[in-house]
Amino acid sequence: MTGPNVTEDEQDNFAAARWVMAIEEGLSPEHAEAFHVWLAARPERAELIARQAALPGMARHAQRQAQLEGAAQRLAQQDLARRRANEQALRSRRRFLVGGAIAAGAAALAVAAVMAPRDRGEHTAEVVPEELYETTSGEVRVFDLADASRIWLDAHTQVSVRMTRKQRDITLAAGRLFVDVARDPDRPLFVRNGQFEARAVAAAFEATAFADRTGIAVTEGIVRLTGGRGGRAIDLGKGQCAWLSASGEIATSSASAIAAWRQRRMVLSDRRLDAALAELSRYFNRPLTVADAQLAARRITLSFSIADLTEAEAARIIANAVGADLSDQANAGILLSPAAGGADAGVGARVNPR
Amino acid sequence: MAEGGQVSGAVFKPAKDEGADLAADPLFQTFRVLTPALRRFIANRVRNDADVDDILQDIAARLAARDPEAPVDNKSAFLFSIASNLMKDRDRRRLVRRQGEHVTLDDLEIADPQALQDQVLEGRQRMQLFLAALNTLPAREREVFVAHRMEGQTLLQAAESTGLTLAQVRKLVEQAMARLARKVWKD
Repeated sequence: MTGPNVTEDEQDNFAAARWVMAIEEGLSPEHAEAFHVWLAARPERAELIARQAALPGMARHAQRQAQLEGAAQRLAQQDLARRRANEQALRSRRRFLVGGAIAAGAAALAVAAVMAPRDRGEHTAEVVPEELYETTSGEVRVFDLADASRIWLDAHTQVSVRMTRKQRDITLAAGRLFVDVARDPDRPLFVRNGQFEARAVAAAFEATAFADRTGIAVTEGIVRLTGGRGGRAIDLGKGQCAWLSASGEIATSSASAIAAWRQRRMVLSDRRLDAALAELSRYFNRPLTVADAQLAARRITLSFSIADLTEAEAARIIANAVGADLSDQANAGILLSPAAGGADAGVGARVNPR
Repeated sequence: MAEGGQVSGAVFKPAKDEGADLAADPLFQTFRVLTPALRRFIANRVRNDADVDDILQDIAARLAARDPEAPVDNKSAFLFSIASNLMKDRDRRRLVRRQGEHVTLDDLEIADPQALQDQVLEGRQRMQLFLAALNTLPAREREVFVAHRMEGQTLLQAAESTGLTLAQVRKLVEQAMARLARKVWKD
């Protein structure tokens, strides 16, 4: 730390640490004088001493916080584990880490579990902070993580992030996220869900965990996807995506306009109408639905901005594309139904704005 | 910096009958050593010099009033914490005066929720940075930092439990402290 390229600030920072250690042990009058001379030479040095003095308090606060929040966190994790147990048992024989405990209402709540070496019988202490992120209806948010990776959360998404020395873990409990992974060959980043595990060292990709659509799509780098029946592993590169079917098959294909939702664009590529409406509904308070089985199975390819749209306007765009009628539902939702007068009748459909 | 010369100034001269005891108190000795640093730390946060002197005086008074038998693990942390608390009290009293002297200190806790929120958020962000920084420390450095600075082990105890020499442990702790401070206050 004291090589020729070390800046004056860094030298001061290190010197401040040494002075505080020495002061704690007791300074002789000569050393005290030397300390005062050092301190007086640069005004910022007093702040560096104050920071050193503040560090143990932060450490103790972290321990207290862990004790207080540990109990609440364990309860939340148990609850989440219970709710997921059946689903996971059915879908996958492979065991994945379930680390996501999502606190309702908190967009980003950091909790910490500080474990002293003797608690675990290990040689070194490991501090494992977990950060919980959540978005609600229509919300698309971006967060910077401690490792300089960046995550975008689509609407109705819940993730938890845990950074350890050996790896970076993101658990996608629900919804869809996009990760721009900061390069760190020694610490791979994992995105896990009950059905798949995606591993990357330096990449950018989208991970989706919708009720009817689960998988990943890659925009940069290489991502290794493990999951599906038999826990198969495949590497996906730029522009490739992989979707897991209900039976556990993995289907890969090329993809464009990945994660356009970050720019509030809805890009539907050969999607079933019911799935498209479910996806679109994530951004609105009024659900968009289709009851007619034949219409629900219609496939749709469409791209439009949802930035300033109301539910009614979004529903109108879709209805026009497939030639359907719109009607308001008792539950405040909007229903698409086959056009009464044939394929073109949807153009004249009526729906109340809100 | 002119403050350097004021370390043993009259401001902190203890009462005569307690003088000998207080001068021998390690905490008071540490206070004398750290006075220029505390003075600058306070001056960076309050407006006028009279306030700085008052707060330093208050710290000295508190040190004189405390039970000398009660050990203080971390003397520098203790002194800077007193300084911070006294500055906070000062802000509260000032706010009370502005609001017409009819508000009790208890009421004041919720008088400025935004300030409180900012303070908590700031704390949370620093805490996140601290935990992330602690995680990325080399294993040995983390181990001795946790033992010595967090769990209150002496350097000697830390040396015994790790099998390192005292000098090695001291150096590791110093490196950990410098690294943590650099990462927590990287702005």
